[in-house]
Amino acid sequence: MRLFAFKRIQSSIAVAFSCLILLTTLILSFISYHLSADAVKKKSQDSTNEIIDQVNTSINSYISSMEYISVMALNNADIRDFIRSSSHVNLVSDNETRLRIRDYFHSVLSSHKDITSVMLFGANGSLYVSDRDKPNLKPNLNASKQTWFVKAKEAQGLVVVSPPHIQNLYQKEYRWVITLSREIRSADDKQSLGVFSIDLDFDVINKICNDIRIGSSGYLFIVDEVGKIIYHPQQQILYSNLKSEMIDQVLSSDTGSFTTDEGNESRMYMIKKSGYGWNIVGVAYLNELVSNKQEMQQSLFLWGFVCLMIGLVLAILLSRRLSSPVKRLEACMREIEKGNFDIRSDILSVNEIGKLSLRFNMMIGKIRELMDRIMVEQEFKRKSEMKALQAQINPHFLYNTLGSIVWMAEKNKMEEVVTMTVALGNLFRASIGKGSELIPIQAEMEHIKHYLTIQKIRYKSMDYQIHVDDRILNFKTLRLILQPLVENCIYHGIKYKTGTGIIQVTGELMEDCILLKVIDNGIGMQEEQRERILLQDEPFEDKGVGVTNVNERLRLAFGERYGLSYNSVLGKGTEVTVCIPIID
Amino acid sequence: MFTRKKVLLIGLLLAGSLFIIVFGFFHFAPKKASDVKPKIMIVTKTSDPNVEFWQALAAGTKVAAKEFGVDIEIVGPRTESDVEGQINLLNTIANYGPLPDAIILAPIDYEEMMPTIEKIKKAGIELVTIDSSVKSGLSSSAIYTDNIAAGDKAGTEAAALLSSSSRVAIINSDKESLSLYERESGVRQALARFPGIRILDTYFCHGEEEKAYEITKNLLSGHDPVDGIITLNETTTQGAARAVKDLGFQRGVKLVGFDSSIQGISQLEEGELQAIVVQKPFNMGYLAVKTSVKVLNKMKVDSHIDTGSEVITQANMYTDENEKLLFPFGER
Repeated sequence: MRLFAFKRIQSSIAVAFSCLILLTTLILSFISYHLSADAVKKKSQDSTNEIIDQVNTSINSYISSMEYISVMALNNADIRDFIRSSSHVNLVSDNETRLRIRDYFHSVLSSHKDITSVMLFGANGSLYVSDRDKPNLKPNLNASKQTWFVKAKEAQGLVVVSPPHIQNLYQKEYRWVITLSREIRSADDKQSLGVFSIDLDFDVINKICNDIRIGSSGYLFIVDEVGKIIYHPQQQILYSNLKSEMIDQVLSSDTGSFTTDEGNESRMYMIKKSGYGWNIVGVAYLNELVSNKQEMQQSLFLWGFVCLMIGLVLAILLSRRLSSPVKRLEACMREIEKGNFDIRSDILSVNEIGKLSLRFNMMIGKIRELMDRIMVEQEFKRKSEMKALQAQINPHFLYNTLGSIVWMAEKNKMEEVVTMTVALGNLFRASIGKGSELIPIQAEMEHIKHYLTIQKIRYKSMDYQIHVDDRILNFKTLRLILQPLVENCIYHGIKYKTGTGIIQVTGELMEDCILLKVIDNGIGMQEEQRERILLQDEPFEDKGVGVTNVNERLRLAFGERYGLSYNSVLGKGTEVTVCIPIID
Repeated sequence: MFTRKKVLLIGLLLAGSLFIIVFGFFHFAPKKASDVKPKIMIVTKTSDPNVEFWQALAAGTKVAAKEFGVDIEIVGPRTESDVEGQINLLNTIANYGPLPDAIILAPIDYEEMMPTIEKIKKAGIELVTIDSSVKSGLSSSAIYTDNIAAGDKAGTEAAALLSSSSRVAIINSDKESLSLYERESGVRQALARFPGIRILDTYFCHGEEEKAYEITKNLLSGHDPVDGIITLNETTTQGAARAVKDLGFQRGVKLVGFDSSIQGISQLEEGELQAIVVQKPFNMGYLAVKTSVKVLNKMKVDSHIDTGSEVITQANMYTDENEKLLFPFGER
């Protein structure tokens, strides 16, 4: 997951959460959209079915009332008489019955406004009786070629409902009608006696269907079992091939419903098989069926977006909350890096971060303990070294000095013996000290004066001078730093010199430090010798541990920038400078 | 604080969500546009309810309006020759509104109403003309019956009814009418294919049925009666058919007419008329609205659309297709 490899955990968590929320929102929106779209679709499907049912019911009620009239008519005594007689005798003669029948037809017509005509035909298609008067009828009228007449004869007494057609039996009257026709057969020998027909004004059905709205552009059409269109709002358009209708699919559909795949124009067909072989088909446009689909989509998008935003804010807050203890712990560690071991993490939660914090605090405690211990040990080590050093000075010197005293005593140089013994005593007193490492410069000077006094007595060809700035006398220095230096001057500088060797000890106050110098006019040193003299690990000959030890002690006590520096000219002499801080 | 990567990813996330929102709204929103229905005004040549052609045309526009989800309003002058009335109608619309989105116009006299049409176009109204083959750049499409083809059908039908050496007369109504002129040239073009058939002069009845009746009577009662008569509109057809009937079907003259009417249909049934060529006003109305909707949706439309014509004879008048053509619902 390099995508989530951020510099901060907070970012990683926030981004991961956001992605998760985004994905969840999308999936949920998608699913809920489809579920509700399905529900809406189902609902409008149901309502379309309801509409179809209603249309079916009202059409059926019209047709069944026609059928009822036909049954009534065929059971009418006059009609039965007339038909029976017409098969035998000349029907024209029976004018009285004919008039009665016509009146009966008239009464049917006047009580049923939707019925345009009621007629009775002979088996050969010639008109027997009509509700109309003769002048309204076309002369030489014969119905035998009419489809409904042919169909009625084929059906042998069963009711036949024709598709809508123009009833062209009347003078200058052309009406769209549906004709219900049935053959009248003799009860005994099943002979065709004639055909009875009722015309229903097609306007009735036209109006029912025309007023139907399925969605805003859905429509309803009726097709019969052979695919002939009974009603279609765009029948003329269809006949002109400007459009086509899915009649084949309607006829072959078993399920009563199918959906076309026309993209945005996809339609859903719902088919209801009515009586008389008619199929009532409701057509709804899919994108309209779910007309509030867009609203749904929009509200889903809106709510999805709101959820997403809330989620994002929560993700950022949560990630901040998760990562803040880590950041605090990090800040603690940074403090420790700076050397502040007193800091403690204050995270007290019981979770992993809290435990980490606890461990961290324990670890810091341990480190601090170890460091304290190391410091104590260092101190101890230094002190013991110091003691060793001090111990180191004394025996040599004591041995030599005592030798000198013995030698002088043998020569009866009493005065000198006294001087030397006093100096030696003072020297020891000073070097034993009182345990304190730091002493006033004055004391150190006293100490070196005693030492030089002793040495001057021992070596006749040596003299010394001490020039110290009065202002520095009360400042502090490490004890026993000058003695090893002077000792070194004597044994390596002046001892081999012919003539008098002079040792100068000076002390001056600089701006930020005090410089103590030991200057001799001895044989001096070579350059490489000078360079190596302060190197601890390279003891050369007899130079003694003294000089390097002094340097080490100075640096341990005051820091790296303090210590010794040598300046020497071969044959002319050597100058050692001690640099120490100004300490009150 | 913000690493570049983080900024990038957060940006991407925001852009992603924004994209989804925008996509969601823009992809699905346009379909809602149907809430505001475009309004289309149909200006016919006459609002007279007895002229079946315009009634059928109106029925076609209504069906299309329902299908395409538009509001329509049908207006027209009182009579088919009222040029002034039609211009006034258009001026009223252009001057006082409410302005429709499109106008479907059946111009009575295109030349006369040119300034008015220009005014309408300036108001940003789309224009589609019907029932006239005259088309300027101002109208997006012209939907009409190809009268030359219709005339050709009439001529061909007449030739089929007549013997190879017959004499035929043409009765026209108006010299000024372009569509009638086109019908006549169609008839002549068809008859020219039959070298034996001789065309007599074209007679004009100037819109009077009585005149057509007289002309026909003269043509049939002289020393040398014609064998066939072709009449080019409803008026001339009525007059001619009446004359044929009154003269008692003299010498079995063949009469081919134009445009259906109740009289025409019964004359056809009774054999006074042999054939009529009918236009398809329902389709014309339907296609006019359909084309206007396309124009309003900035879709490409054909500049000329022929709605076609049919030859109706006694034999085919009760077929499913022709029944619908001859007998619109609810009209008779």
